[in-house]
Amino acid sequence: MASWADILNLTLPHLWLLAGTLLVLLVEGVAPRRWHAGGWTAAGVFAIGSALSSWSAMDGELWQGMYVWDGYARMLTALIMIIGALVCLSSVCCEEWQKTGDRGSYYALLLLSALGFTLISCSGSLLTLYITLEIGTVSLFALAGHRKTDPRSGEAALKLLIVSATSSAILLYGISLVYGAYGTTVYSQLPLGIMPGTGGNQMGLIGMLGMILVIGGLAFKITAAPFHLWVADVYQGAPTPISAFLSTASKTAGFAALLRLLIIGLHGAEDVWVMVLVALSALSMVLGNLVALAQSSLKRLLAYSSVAQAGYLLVAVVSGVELGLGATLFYLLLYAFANAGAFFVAQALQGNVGSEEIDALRGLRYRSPTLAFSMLIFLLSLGGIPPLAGFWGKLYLFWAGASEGHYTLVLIGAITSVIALYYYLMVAKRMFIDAPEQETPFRFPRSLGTAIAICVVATAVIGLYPRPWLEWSYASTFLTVPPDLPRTAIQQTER
Amino acid sequence: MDWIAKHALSLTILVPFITCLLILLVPPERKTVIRVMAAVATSITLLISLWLCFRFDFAKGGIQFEERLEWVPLAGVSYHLGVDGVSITLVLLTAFIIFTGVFASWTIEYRTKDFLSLLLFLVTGVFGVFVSIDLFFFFLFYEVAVLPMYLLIGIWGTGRKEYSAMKLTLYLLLGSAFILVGMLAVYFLSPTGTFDIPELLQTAKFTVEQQRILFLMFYVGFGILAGIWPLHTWSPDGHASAPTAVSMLHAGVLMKLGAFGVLRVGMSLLPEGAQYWAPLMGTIAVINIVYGAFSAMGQTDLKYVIAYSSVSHMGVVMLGLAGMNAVSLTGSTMQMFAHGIMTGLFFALVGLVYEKSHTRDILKMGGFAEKMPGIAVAFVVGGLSSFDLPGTSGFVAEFLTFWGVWKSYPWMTYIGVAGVVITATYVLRVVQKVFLGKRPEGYDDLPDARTTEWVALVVLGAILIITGIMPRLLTDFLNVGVHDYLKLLGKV
Repeated sequence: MASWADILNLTLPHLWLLAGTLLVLLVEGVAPRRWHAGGWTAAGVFAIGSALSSWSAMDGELWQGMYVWDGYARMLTALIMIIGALVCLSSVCCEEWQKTGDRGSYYALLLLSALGFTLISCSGSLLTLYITLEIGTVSLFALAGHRKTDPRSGEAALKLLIVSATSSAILLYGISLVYGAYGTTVYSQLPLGIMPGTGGNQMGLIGMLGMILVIGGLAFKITAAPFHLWVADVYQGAPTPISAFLSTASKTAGFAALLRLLIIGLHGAEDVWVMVLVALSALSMVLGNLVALAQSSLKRLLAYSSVAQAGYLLVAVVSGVELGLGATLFYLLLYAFANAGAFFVAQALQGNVGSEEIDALRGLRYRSPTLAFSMLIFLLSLGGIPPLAGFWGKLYLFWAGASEGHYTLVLIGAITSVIALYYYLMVAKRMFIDAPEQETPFRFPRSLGTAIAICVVATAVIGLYPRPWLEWSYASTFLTVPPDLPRTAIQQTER
Repeated sequence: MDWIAKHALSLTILVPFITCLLILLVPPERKTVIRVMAAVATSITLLISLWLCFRFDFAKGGIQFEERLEWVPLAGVSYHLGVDGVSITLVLLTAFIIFTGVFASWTIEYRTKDFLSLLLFLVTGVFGVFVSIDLFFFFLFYEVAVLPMYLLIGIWGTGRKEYSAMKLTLYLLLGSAFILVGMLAVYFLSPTGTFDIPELLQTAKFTVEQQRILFLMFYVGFGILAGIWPLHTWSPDGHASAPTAVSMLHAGVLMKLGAFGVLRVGMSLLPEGAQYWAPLMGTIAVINIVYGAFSAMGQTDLKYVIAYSSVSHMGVVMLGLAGMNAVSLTGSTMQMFAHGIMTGLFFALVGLVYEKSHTRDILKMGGFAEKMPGIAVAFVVGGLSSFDLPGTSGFVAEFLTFWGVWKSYPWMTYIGVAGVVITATYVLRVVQKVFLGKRPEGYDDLPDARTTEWVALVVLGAILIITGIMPRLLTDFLNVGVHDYLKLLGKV
């Protein structure tokens, strides 16, 4: 039985977020409106939280392995909190609804949602996974509908609600089947598998079905095709900072859950889930990129591009070895900055032109050179052009995929990246080559500018000096790995 | 000085890159300062390249001027530079083309600063590709060169520039997708897990099946860049729309990079795969020669004529590679250099003619020789080299190529040589329509080339003739390089 001190130590970042939620509500109630105190406090809470989580030195498990605090959890928790801080920065004194709506609930819900997502990366059992996923998602319904005057925002909220409820139901059904088959939900105790060496299929039909349902439920979260149909509408309708949060933090959380589940819980059944994920990956890359070609709205374009990015990430996930795990973490890190940054630019666009059509970007170079340059950086990073972060990220993803012999998948990835570059460059063309319709310079709040600047700097720095970030990612692969984790892959390459 | 001597290859990359950064600091109105900076930077790279040529050790052969820096993030990657007898001529070619290219773009007034800094950034990538002997850096520099190209064509181009820029970029990236996968496969199939080409050459043993698949990957990937039929369509559009210096650099240098990639990565790493696919390579190359020449004949836009002639001449390069013997490889690599200089000269000339007459439609021109004798002479020199008149470098290159291929696949020579006749037809047709005959109304005050414009004409024209009369200047290098490749192909 862990002592209270241990519990406090291990869950400190999450407790801090919980306390921060209350603090934000209090501050927003007390301080004058024009101070935007809630937003700044929330950003501060996130910043401190990410520092707390990356510096907490202790590793450990609580409650029979239901809650695990290790390097992996630490990195993802810190990452989600950094995203949270950026989203708060971009929200402060920005949008129309901020002037009328109640802001306290917005930031409090954001913090709660982040709490759920950070806990996902620590969940060591299917039950904690389910509960934390719900904490994270339920708050997002309200956030997506926060632009109360816009019917599309309401649509986004409703759509998110229905889709999440469905995916949760699927997930829960899968969990119940797994529990029924094996009598436990804790990853490290799941005796799944076509165990190496034994040959026969010991997994059983029910367990297999349960596992596939669980993966299906999580596929909604990571927006992998064909579970992606909600993405574009929700991203388009939700307030832009929330779209940024959904496309980065929510996806990070989905991958956090998926990776731990697959590699700790289901490592024995690798043959089965690799097949499923290869299909999901190929489909996401092809569908996401092709559909993105036809979009005229910047936010929808980014939505479909994020579906494609999920496909790229899965290329590394299917390799299932440490190489792939580190590559996924690294990509999640740099993807968060580039994608959130692109959404922030969309937000600045909406604030100035009142539209988030791609055509509204025309001649952005003349109206706001820095904004145009930032957007270019984000797009090229997403497209994987050196010397930006995305190049290294994609290279490592493909490297990991190729290391396990998934050459077809890597080839699909490389070719669809070219398609992706087409629509990214079409955006760049509007900004840099087309003439502007109006000459009025763009104006946007300094807080939003800061958020964009942080994303640009991060994308450029990771690109120019990837080494420490890569080392961090690879150091953050699981610490609490069961000793019998098969490394068949590594043995194969050695042979 | 000692440091410079040891890091000469790094300097070819660093000098343009640093100048590119320095130019960003100059206020955009100071256009002359910016131009002079670009000219100085490219002269320095030219001097370095010439110095490298003088210091090249013919007796030793192999890869020279090596520099190596371990570079950790991806295991098995090192910043490894070096040139062999073939790539040193290509470095020299790049240096000449960019040096003259800067002078050819002297008159660009629209966003001069952005133009020249992007151009130098592009050159950084191009030099990087030729001097890297680590597959990973090879690929990295290749990708670095792509984006500036898109912007250079999209912003400063002419005609359907946005369409062409996008088409070119996407085709090149499609090629790099194949290269990437092939590269990763080579890495994981090699026993030691490395991207280092010399190390791969020593240690890697690929099975025949692997070689066949991988060679096809690299052939398609690099071939797109070299303009192989039917994946060449980016090239006429892209080169016709690009601003002069970019066309010069792209048609003159980057297409050679494709052919060189097939030679260095494809043929030397995967010799059995190369032999298996050689008949296909040769057939496609012949189609390139004939089809490209016929297409050039049908064009009325002067720049498209030159662009299609590049497709045709690149066929000769690829044909020589397919021949796979000492003579054909020497011819092929010589053609890389000769065609690079020739097409650079052509694009510089077309740029000048267009700038002065404001048209590229050859049906609307005529009798320009009277008003611009210098340009006309240079054009004829280029044209003679294009259809292989003895005394020009084009003759030496294509003669060697066809002679060599005769030994391997005689029928390819029969058809390929026909391409030379068609080439003569369209070149003479252009000379006649544009420079001879009666001058139409409205072209009475056409000026000849002026001051800085002469640089490209004189330098490139002189090289064509000098290397035509004294081919040994090049073949000494090429023989050394080709000998190395033949050893790898098991033909010595």
